[in-house]
Amino acid sequence: MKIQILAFTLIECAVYMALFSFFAVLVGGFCSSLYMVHQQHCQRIAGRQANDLVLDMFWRDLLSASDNVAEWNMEHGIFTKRFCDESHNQIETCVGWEVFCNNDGHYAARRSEGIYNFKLAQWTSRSVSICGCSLQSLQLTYEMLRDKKHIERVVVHYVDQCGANDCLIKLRARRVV
Amino acid sequence: MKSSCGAAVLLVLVMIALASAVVMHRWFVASLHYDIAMQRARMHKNFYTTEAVLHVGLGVIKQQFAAVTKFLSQTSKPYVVDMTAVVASIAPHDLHLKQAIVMVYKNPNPKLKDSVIVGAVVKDAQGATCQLCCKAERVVVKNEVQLAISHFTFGHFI
Repeated sequence: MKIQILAFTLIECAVYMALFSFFAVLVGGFCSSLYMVHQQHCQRIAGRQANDLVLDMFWRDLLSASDNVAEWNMEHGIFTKRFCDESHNQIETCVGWEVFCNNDGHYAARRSEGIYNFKLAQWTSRSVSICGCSLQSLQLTYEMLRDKKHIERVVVHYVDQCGANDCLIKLRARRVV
Repeated sequence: MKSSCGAAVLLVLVMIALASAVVMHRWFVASLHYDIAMQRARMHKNFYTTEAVLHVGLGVIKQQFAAVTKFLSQTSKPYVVDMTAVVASIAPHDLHLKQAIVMVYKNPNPKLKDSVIVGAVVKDAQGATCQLCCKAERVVVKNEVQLAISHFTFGHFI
């Protein structure tokens, strides 16, 4: 009788342990899949934030961009920027934006600032800063005024993980009040 | 009977916990997306409001350009125009903007006598939300005095 009870208890314990293991694996698997999805979402959000940061910085440069066609190199995304510094001194510099792919397959945006020769289409001197992002391409096209010398609006065409997007930016240079 | 009832309750509790975890995760992700979108929308609203204030301020300065340049030649302080009434009429109410100021500074370049630096600042209860500035140069086109705007700059502190 005692052996029967002991055997029954052991079998019961084994069943409970098997059930517990089954549920533990089930819950663990579910939680880990949830965690993986969470990590993917976080990566996507971080990538989107980096893209937003790059596009906002680019937008900020474009706000101060010259509207003279001769001071633009649309193919390479380079233009002259005129702005006021904190002491209200008027600064003129050239800025270039491009997206490139690293050797490890990650995308990043490169911002160049310095002196650019538009006739020779080459940088005389520049400082480069790089910002990681998931933008895959960044291209510029423009809409000119009737005089064919001044740019009215710039269209920024970019491709990210969600697909292709266009952003229309009106230049603020040489407005007359 | 009791053990089966207990197991059923346990199963329901586990299912509720799992469903809560899924819902909480969805809510967390959605709130992050929403926060980013809200911050950007707020930044753009502040920018366009400040740009409108700057534009209105430039119109005022154009009318008083001689008086403004005379004032700036006599002192090192900026010429201040309070545009709070403009903000109240044009700004979206959800920004809770309190004050808008247009400040005119002397151009640091002494060669450019007919130009000034114009800056617009829009503030809410916490402080400045957006700052823009530009160079305004007086030009005469067909006997009409105009202000040519250049060196448009988004604020440095943002």
